[in-house]
Amino acid sequence: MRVGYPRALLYYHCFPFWKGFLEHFGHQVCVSGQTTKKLLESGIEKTVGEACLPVKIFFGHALALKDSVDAVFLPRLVSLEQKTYICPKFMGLPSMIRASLPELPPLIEVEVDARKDGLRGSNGLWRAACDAAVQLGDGSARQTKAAFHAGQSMQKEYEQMLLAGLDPNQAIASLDCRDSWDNRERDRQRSSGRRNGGKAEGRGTGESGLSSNMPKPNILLLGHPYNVHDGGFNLGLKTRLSGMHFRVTTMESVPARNALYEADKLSKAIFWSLGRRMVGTAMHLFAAEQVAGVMHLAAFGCGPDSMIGEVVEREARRLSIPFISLVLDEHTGEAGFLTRVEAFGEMLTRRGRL
Amino acid sequence: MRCTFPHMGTMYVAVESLLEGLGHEVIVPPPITERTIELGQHGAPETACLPLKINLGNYIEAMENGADVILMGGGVGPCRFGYYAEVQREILKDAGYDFDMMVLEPPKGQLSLAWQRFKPLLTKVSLSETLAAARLAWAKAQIVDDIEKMTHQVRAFETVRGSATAARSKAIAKLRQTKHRQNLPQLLEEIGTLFQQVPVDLQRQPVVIGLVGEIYVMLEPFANRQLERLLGEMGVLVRRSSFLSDWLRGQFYSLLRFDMQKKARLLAGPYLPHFVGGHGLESVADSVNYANNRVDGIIHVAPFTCMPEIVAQSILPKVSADFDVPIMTLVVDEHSAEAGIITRLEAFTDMVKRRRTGRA
Repeated sequence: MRVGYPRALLYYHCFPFWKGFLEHFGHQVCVSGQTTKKLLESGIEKTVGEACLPVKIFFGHALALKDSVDAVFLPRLVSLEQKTYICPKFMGLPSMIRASLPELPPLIEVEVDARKDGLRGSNGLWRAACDAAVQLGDGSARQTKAAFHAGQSMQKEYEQMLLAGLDPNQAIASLDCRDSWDNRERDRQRSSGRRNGGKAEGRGTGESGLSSNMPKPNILLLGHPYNVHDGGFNLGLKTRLSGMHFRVTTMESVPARNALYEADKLSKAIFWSLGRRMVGTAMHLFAAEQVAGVMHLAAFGCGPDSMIGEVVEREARRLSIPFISLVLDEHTGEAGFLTRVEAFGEMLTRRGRL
Repeated sequence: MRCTFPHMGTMYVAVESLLEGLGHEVIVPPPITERTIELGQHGAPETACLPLKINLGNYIEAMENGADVILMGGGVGPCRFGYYAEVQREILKDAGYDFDMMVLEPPKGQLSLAWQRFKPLLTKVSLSETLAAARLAWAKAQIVDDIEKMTHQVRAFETVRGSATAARSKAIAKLRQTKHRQNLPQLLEEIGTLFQQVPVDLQRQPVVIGLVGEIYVMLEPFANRQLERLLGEMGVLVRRSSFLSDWLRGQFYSLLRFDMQKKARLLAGPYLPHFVGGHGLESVADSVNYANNRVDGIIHVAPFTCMPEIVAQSILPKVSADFDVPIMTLVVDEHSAEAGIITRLEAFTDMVKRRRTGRA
């Protein structure tokens, strides 16, 4: 069976698990293409005006899969870690899709809720996996278990690649040609010693070895993964920043454990899984004095980001770390956006020279 | 310790009575005006939802009048409301205000610590006085709801525009002055007489419109720009899905972690099988309930960028089509103006009225 998976929202967070899982059962996993203007417009047409841009993009991706797959895989994400939630729109997403897009092929809808943990430490994925196996109509318990482990090992591999500083898009692409990745990783480890988790331990990450005479300022690009890694959403911000000679750090390259340790120091725990990790990442890097500036990239109208941005901004201001909030929606013009990014970049460079 | 708290419709009647019963000096924030919103939005994050901004304005105006302790609700997600108090405290601290904020929410960690925190609030009077204060406040919350229901009912039939609204404010003023529970039965009778004196035309057959949506903008007339009064004065019989006592009960039960949503989940099930925080599930469930009860139309109110209500808003067109009932979503924020809302309400009620005459 060809199972479609929209390249949007938490695709960047948990797709490898489901890819490993579904492929173990012999299904062909089809991912929608990159976010384009046309795809975005088809999504906007079908959503309510008040929804945020990432949701509109998701609708576009779901529509793009319409004719090419037998079923669309659509997890209902409630919680990614215990005692947290994620944005309510994820909880309602399958219902929103059902109500607005009746023309889609059948949906495989599973609930991922780490609060009702089926298997300790699986963060709700085990329950979801069993549910998915039943809905797909295949697999004995043993097979489901094997598929679950296949998924988990793929996810683990993916997360290690992200910790090593790889872009999620590249990392997912390289999952397809796993052998070549293994070789590359071995080479890399041989040449640069222990690389994983380097960012957590000190300044010795990647490029710093060769940047002795010209230090590149390190920008923390903070935001939900679907904002930071979708070039169609953020107008290619990540590539542009690298082109402007910045090192770009994202949430994924800081180990979750370190980020959550810092996040728990807040006077009230943040109850959104990704928000908690974002704030923790920022505070961890602030404490280690590893960032020259923070860019907070958010979709207009994003609920969690309006609160998280506020928390991080106040913290950054107290430590006098430059902070810029970039809010995007479907009406954002490229020129105005770039001017702001460039101005912020130049300011950082100048500060670095002083 | 001079306590204050944010406004939410007529909640101040019950909370003021409770705090006074507990032996504290209470500073009720001045009624919400444009100035309140302006003060509030100044320090607030731009895309935060409307209630956060109005709350902030309430605190600032109350502190101008001498308040130094703020009481606020809390929560553990997924709706933003749970993190309000945290963000509001930081905003006010950075703006240089000196105050203490007490957040009522499920305690995290040791219960004894939570007790230490709330001890000054609860131990000023004896236990029997505390209980009496709580019972009086709860009774007042229920009477406030009765007043609201009577107002909705009478307003659609009144012959002199504004007389039901006047009766309502008189009734609330009387309720505020009542300090003992034994006086309440007599007060109820007086309130009944107040509404009976409103001149009505019982020959009218008003259309019935149900209100569903996010609780704060539904309860707070300033946030929804007097939606109920406007509808009533257009000759619409308004039914509202949630009242103050429902909300207070929900808050209290969530402290004890009871499940309040069983009925809502049953009704909303075919459209939204999972809760989405806030009142998203209730909005869908109440719409289905109203549609089953054959109202002529439904109005769904939500603050701009409210996440749970966006989910509901995306699903309501399907409910509308399935039950053949018109549903309009009205999104409000600090920039909403009454004129725009009146135009939309008039268009909607005209359509609903014409649909009914067409059918008959």
